[in-house]
Amino acid sequence: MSTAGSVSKACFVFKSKQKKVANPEDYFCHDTSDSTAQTRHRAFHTLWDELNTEIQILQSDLNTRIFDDLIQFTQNASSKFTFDPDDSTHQRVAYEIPTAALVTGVNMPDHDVMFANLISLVREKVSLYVAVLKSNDCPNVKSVMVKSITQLMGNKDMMDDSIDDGDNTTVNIKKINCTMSTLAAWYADKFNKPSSPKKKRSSSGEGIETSRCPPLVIVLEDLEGFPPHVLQDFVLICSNHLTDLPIVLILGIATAVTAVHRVLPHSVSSLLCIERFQAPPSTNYLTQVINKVLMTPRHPFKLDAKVFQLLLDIFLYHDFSVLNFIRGLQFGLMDHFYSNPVSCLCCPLEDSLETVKTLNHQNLEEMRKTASFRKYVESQPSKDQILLLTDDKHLKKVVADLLYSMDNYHRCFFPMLDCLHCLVKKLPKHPLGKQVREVYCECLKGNISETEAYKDAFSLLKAMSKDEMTILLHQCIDRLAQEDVPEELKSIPNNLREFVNRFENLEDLTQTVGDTTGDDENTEALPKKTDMHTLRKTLLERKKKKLTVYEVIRTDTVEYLNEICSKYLACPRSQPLHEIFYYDSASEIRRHINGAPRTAIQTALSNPYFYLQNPSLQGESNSVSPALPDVCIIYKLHLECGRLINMYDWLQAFITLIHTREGAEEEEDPKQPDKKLQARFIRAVSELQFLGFIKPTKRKTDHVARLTWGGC
Amino acid sequence: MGSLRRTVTRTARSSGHQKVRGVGQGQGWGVRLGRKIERSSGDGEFEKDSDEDSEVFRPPEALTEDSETLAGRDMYGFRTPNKKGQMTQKASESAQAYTPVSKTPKSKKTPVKTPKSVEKKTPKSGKKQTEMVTPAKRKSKVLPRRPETTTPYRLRKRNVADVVDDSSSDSAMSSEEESSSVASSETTGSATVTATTSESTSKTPTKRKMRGDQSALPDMTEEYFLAHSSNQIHTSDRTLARLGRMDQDSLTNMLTDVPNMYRKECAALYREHRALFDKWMLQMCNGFNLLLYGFGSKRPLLEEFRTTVLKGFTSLVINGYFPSITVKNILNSITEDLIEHRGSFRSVTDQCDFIKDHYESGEYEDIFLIIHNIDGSMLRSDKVQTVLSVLAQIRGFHILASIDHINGPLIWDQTKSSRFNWLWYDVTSYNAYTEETSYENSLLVQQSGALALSSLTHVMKSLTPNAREIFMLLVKYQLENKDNASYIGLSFHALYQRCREAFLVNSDLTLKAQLTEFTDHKLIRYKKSVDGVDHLYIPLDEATLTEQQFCRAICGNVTQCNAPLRCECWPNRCG
Repeated sequence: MSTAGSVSKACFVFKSKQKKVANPEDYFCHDTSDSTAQTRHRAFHTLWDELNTEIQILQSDLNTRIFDDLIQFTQNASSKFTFDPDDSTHQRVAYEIPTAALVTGVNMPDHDVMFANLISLVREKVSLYVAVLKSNDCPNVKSVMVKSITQLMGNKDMMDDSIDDGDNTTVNIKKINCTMSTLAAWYADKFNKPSSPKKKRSSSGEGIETSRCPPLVIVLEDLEGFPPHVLQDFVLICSNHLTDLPIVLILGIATAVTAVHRVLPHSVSSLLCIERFQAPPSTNYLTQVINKVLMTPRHPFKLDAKVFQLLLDIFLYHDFSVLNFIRGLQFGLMDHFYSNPVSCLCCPLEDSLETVKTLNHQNLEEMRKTASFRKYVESQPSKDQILLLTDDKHLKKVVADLLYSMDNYHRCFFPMLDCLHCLVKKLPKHPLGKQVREVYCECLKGNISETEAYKDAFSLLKAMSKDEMTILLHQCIDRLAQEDVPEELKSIPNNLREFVNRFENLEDLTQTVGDTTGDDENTEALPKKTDMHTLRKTLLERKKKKLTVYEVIRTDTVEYLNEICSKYLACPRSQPLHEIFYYDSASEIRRHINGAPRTAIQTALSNPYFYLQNPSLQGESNSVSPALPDVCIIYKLHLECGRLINMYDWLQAFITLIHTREGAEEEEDPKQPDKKLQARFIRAVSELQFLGFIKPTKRKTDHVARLTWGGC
Repeated sequence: MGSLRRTVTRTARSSGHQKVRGVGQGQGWGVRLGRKIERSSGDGEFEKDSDEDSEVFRPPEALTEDSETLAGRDMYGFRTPNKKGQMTQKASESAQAYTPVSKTPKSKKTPVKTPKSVEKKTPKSGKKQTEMVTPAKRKSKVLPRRPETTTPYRLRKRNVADVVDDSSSDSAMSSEEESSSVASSETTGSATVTATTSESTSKTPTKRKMRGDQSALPDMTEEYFLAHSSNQIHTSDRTLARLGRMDQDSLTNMLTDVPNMYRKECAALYREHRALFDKWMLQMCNGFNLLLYGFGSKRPLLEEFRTTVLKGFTSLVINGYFPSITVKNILNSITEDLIEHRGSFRSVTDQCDFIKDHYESGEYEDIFLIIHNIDGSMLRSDKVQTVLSVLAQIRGFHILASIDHINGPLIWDQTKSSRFNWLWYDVTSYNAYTEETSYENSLLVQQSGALALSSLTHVMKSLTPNAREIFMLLVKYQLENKDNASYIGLSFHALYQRCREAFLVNSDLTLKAQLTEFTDHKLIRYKKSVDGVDHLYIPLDEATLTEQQFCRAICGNVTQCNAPLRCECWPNRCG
């Protein structure tokens, strides 16, 4: 069945006989000669599953505090509700709808997950009756009412035991009138049974216990997206029925609480009793994800500096969306395992040691080809070099050793990184950045101890006061005393403690030493006669010489810190076989995550050599060579024009060029050009129109309007 | 970066996209949200005093690095063309510079009369070459000068009649205008040309990965407004009316034997893209959707993907470029043809929910949606894209889409593009957009009114003689009024009067009934005048109305029936 050229149909269905499920492994292992493909695919799968679950746990933990507050709020809001009209509290709250304004931040793509978590929590702890409204479902008041009421009433009532009953209610909902009165009647029918004992409620836990009349929670996910009049009407309707229904609103707001006042006039917003809840910013979430997933020795997969920077930049400059960051990570992970043959060893140490044993000659050759390994070979004595390059068994042993050392390197690296971050995060001007990820990025870029920023940071450390210094040292000690720190680093906290002790005992030292030095200097008399310049010089020199004991210790400390940092924070790229763990093709990510369709089209049109690679197309970018494809000629000619283009002139110019190329055969009448040329012209022009470079205009006969402003 | 975004936004506006909501697409929007926010909100500690001044704005290096996504000034620069015929000049310059294998180009065509210096200087020289018009001969015919921009509609006829004279006046006029500016612009122009030449030749782009010209984007605000400050349109007044128009069929016939000069290279590109098929499947299995971009039709590639890799899978092909596709079509083909559900839905959202429930409750199944031109004109609306993005999220649904419009990605906001979860693939192919442009949307073909004519022929065949004559009345009246710029149509009442006089109808109800047939086929439109009276007019231009084919469409039929037609209403060629 052809899908093209139909004039009556635009959708074509190709239905398979049985439900077929694609198996990703088939596509991963397309190359049968590559024996590691299966291993890699398995490794990819397990690793991604691990990361994914970890991220999901993070996600649900992330908003715990704010969600707890919100749940508390909804419980409190509804607890005052009774059906007794004489109750005094009832009178008080009657006309204000308890409203929680949840300020979520601008990272819209992440909100879906957040609200899903929130709703499931509310269902679990407060009330089963939750309605979720999204602005794109709700163009008018009617749809708002229908959506909310069907969700509230259609909820499978846990108190009804029989499934049949539940089914009946869902059927009925389609037929009932979706009004608040219906809802109120339904609600009263359900809960206004003063005599009803609390039966069958034991399983639902204490959350439901407190609210005999569970609140009706209505969640508006994106307040800014709702049409204002719809929202106003909805709030008015809700407030009218507050006496009958314990309604609680949760407004998801991406910008700021003032959005409520922008959308609602005072008369309406005064009906809301708004309490503000601020969700933690997405940068916090990102930091946690990076800490848990990337900056840990537990997961073997790592990002190289460029890739890491790119993903961070996409996050910071495009959308603040952690979800998209994770997807970028997933793409990188997939591409790493798919395109890098040595990645079969990118798994936890025990597994990778097993895998090394099974490697065949071809795989080991791949290993030998990696740049870092070659560098490593060159650093070895020549006898070993030959062995490494020829003997597979020897190589396997070496690879296993290298994997060990790599693992060890990572174990030392991250605690030290945290230490360094502790040291530098509060320095003035933040030479290495505030966030640990910035420090990490610096480390990935190259040997951090050689960078300017690092040197600046350490010269600033050398100017610290005693109190600050001891605080920093304590922080470092705390970090290095944690469980995950390997044996190798165990001595560092002790050394640091020694420094702290010396700082604390400073008092005694200064008194003893200080006196003598002070005396010495006093005795040294100034020359009697001298000019201003030399006097200043000598005084300055003297000042320099006069290092206090504190300064001495401080210098020692900083030197020591510098030493351990440069030892353990070497650039990962300096490690042999780092290619196994580090994914570095930033261009791949940039091209596929952050595509640039317009640039591609314009390049194809203005510089076809870039794609076609035909030598005859090579030329200056601003000339119109007649050898170009038709549409490129047309495009380049149109770049010469202003806002409007005369079609006739365009055609003539095109014909001029084409005649040059094909050699003007005969003196034909230019007023009646070759039909074929005209057809080619028409095709090229309509393609430009299709691409959106030009459009027809009525401003002048037989003219088209240009829609872009580029090209000179 | 900023100016770049501006360019995009501006063009988006002018191309009629109402909503300017960018997706990143490598053009760095949202620069202002950058580091600053992150720093201040970063770890919850505000250190306001000392390091407020030290906040350094860091441009996103990683996004723009190695400039693969940025082509620089070349692409997004401005120019203020204030000369007519710059295009022609360029064409002839390039033609002269080009040395074909066999012949020396065009030298014999250069008119002898044109002095060498003039040829070099004035941009008109190119035009003279191509037209071989010597202005001196026809100077006598030059009409009094008209303001260029406001060539009124009724004058056009005259223009068409004597284009020669028009062009000569045009050139005379232009030489007056330009004589002053030519000298200066010439020098600056050549200076820049040489500069860029040396720059670009110094680099030899050998690999596709490497692109020349990595110059930073200049700030071009001023230039933009300069380019837009004047309302003058500097173009010549020639029209295409003399050229015979083509319809779609003859166009395709003409193009069948046009050779593709770079077939080998295109085939190489195609092979390169084909090699990605396995990767694509892997990525789709992992929850990504694919978006193909780049110049050239992506139809053949997608079709091949469907017939080879997707063989045996359930798939749905959607032609987004189809002029009357609706979101309902798409959803119906899923619910009716795939799920085989016989029932109707109250709304599009209901239908989406139904599809979602059906696929997420049952056994897992892979469904592949192939959308040719997801940015097609009928799919551009926010609602449709929302529905598609919701479909993309359903378990087991995978989308492979192609996008062609240069501002296409603006149809998605952050939420939608995140739902789609696109992976972008550049699959530039240089294939002709044959299918995509075949639906009568192109400029030159459109004016032939072939579709209108064919529908007219069909409608005419099925109508009573009276109805035909009513239409004829309207045509006649419209042609009589073709020079009247404020003509908005024949009022319904006047038409009724005329029809009564010709014994065509006996009541206004019958007339209305007759007219419905035409309005349904879009052959007649209503327009309300200022006083609220309905006016009827035929939405075809006068050129089409006088077209031979048009005459045949009506006359042919009419002569079969009784009325010996008043052919005098068509001044030409009716017989």
